[in-house]
Amino acid sequence: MKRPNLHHCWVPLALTLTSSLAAAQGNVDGVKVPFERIVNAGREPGSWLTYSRDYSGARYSPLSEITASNVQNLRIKWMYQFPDAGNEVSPLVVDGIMYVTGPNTASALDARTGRVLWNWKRPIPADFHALGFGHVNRGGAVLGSNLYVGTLDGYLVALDLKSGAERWASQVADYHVGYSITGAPLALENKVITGVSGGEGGVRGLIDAYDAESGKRVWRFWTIPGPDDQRAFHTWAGDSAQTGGGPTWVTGAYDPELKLLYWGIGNPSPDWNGDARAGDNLYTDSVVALDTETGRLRWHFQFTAHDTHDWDACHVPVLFDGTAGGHRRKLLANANRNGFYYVLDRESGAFVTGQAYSKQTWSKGLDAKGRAMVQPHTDPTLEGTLVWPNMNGATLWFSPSYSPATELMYVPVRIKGARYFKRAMDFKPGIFYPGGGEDELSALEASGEIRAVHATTGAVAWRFPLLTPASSGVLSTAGNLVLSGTDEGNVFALDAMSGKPLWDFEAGSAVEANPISYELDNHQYIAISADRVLLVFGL
Amino acid sequence: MMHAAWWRFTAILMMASLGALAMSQAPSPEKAVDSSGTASSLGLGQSLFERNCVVCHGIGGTGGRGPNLTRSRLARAPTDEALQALIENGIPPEMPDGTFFTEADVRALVHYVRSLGLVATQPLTGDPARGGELFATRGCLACHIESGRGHGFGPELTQLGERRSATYIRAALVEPQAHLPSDFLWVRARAANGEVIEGIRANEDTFSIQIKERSGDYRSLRKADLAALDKLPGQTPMPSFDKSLTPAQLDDLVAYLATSRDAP
Repeated sequence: MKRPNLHHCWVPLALTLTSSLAAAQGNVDGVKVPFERIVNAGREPGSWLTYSRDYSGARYSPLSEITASNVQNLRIKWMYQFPDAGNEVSPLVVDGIMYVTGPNTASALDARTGRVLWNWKRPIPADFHALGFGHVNRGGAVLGSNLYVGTLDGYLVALDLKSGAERWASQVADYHVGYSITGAPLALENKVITGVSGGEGGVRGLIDAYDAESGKRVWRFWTIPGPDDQRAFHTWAGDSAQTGGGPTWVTGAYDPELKLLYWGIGNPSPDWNGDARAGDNLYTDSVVALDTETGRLRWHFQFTAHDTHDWDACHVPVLFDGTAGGHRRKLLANANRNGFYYVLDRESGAFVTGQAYSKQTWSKGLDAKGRAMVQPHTDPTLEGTLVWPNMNGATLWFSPSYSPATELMYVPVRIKGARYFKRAMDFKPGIFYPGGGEDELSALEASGEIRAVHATTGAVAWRFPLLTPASSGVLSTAGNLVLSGTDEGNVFALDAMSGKPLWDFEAGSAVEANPISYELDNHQYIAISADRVLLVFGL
Repeated sequence: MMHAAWWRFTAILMMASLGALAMSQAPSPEKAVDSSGTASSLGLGQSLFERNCVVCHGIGGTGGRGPNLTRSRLARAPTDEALQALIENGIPPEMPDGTFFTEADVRALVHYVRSLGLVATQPLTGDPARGGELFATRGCLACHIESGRGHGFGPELTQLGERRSATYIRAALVEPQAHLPSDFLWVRARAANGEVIEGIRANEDTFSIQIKERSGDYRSLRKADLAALDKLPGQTPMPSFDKSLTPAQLDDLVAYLATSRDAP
């Protein structure tokens, strides 16, 4: 099959499927991906049905063909060239087809060969400004017969899985005032959940649920409270909540038994100047648990109160069951941008344990309730205040991984400090609203790690040093492997138990994406993006 | 929410630039000196810059997600007109346009950004012509390329005066180990067979390192194959000229290098 020219065929393009591909698709006329398929993702280890493979956020593959004894034989099987640079997508793989997304783009690829089946593109408005982030998209969501994609101009779009034709497009929020969507949606029973960007624009953050069939909004959770939530509203001085930020740009996790959605919330605005927003600034830098039927808040846990360093809690929460306090509990782990690893009870939101996992100089530690005991003189100043971690944090948006086989959490770690500055700031809708900035320390003073910690305690199991701060997500597999990438262009595999390096490949450009794994014809594949290229490896 | 691919501008490009010995264009530690415009324009420009640009370019324009602006030549904006157009139009998709700035705002921003890369013209007591002779005869060309002459082991010194002040150049000649470009790193690797490979780090990733030896040859080494890899910040093969030149000769050499600038 000839690959369509991406530069000339940017219309929904229904192509004739090869007979082998059609056979692989199975139920092509009915509902391809019912909710139950995603809930029971463990029954089909070869698929990658949602952002983190299953709702737990673990980014763990049960596939085990590739192991420590044969990973040295990994070879490129095919590559796909994206139309845009700097890709951060986590692909989906459903019935032999891979779905990838970019900034206002989506494509379906034959997962065996990389051949393009259809492309979709929504024009980026000429007056769209990205406030503090690149033109990226981290992935889509599938449910029923649709692929759901968020767009930079603030829309959630449903595409027909078979053709890429648009079924509906619902405006989530107005890009003119600073909103955007870069994260992958999360599709649940009959809803599609999405967050937004905008933390450098002084937006009012939100998490939205849309009816999967009609595209109509079902509920909205405002991450910055209004007067109807008095307790949280009073954590903002004056009228500062009106420009409070709290974006939600990284995909959450879901517990189908508890019917709770878990989602991380970003920084307060303005980022580096907290003078006008005295108080804890709820629900910024928190994880919230929402009732998926109503969107109502069940509980929240704030990692960084009154943040002045841009330490969003926009991470994938990782759900797992473990023994804590002498009994088996439903837990949620978060390696946070602020440098601390937290374990929470995901039924109640109660703090279980936590400790620093990277260099940090802003806190003496966590108290019994998990609140950071802030060191004096760590806020940004006019002259600059040296603090670890820098604004990009001890980890960033890319995913950690939890392996139920090793019961270890694998965290991509960034070790870098910066001088933080505070500046006066006026608010104008749709314009940068940072209130300061930082000067990063030099590259010679920065490094990274893949750090394995015991998931229920945060105690270190092993560390694998990286030359530069981590830039990619982590995948762990039943083959006892941990796979990730580096800013220097490496894609690599480590032994999941020991951290011993087993294999690496030079991709030629920065790897800043989440890896996945899937299976076709009884063979396991690893896929990860490196800048403009999607690399697919196999034995 | 700073996120996304900001670091592609730093590590990879920085590493690549090491190989090209562009370290002589590393951020100047020297204070920029404004030579045109008014103080109020500069103040307005700084204020606008700190409100709108520092998220990507750093508080002093030293770079971050966006490129370092504290250099005399901006690749995308060689002239003030080009810089003005760049601020107005942005660089899609990474840099937003500045349509919300007034014309006066843009002029002030151009003024301020240009000031970040200016290097002061300082009074020179030496003779550039005699300095040029010293440069050609005292071994400098054995390691540096200047105006097309010499050997490309150390940083290129062509038009050095645009990037470095006379004060800095003198300090680097007298005490080179204390005045290295920020991305310069001398390394020493020891192979499993005992062989020692020493030179400038040209490139490095988590699993390998490329070293430029004194001969100018490159060695690409797997870290797993090495018995030791020592990184030696502050070390350089460049000798001090404090004793080997007289004060007058030092003045001459400084004058030669500091006046090495683009023709006006």
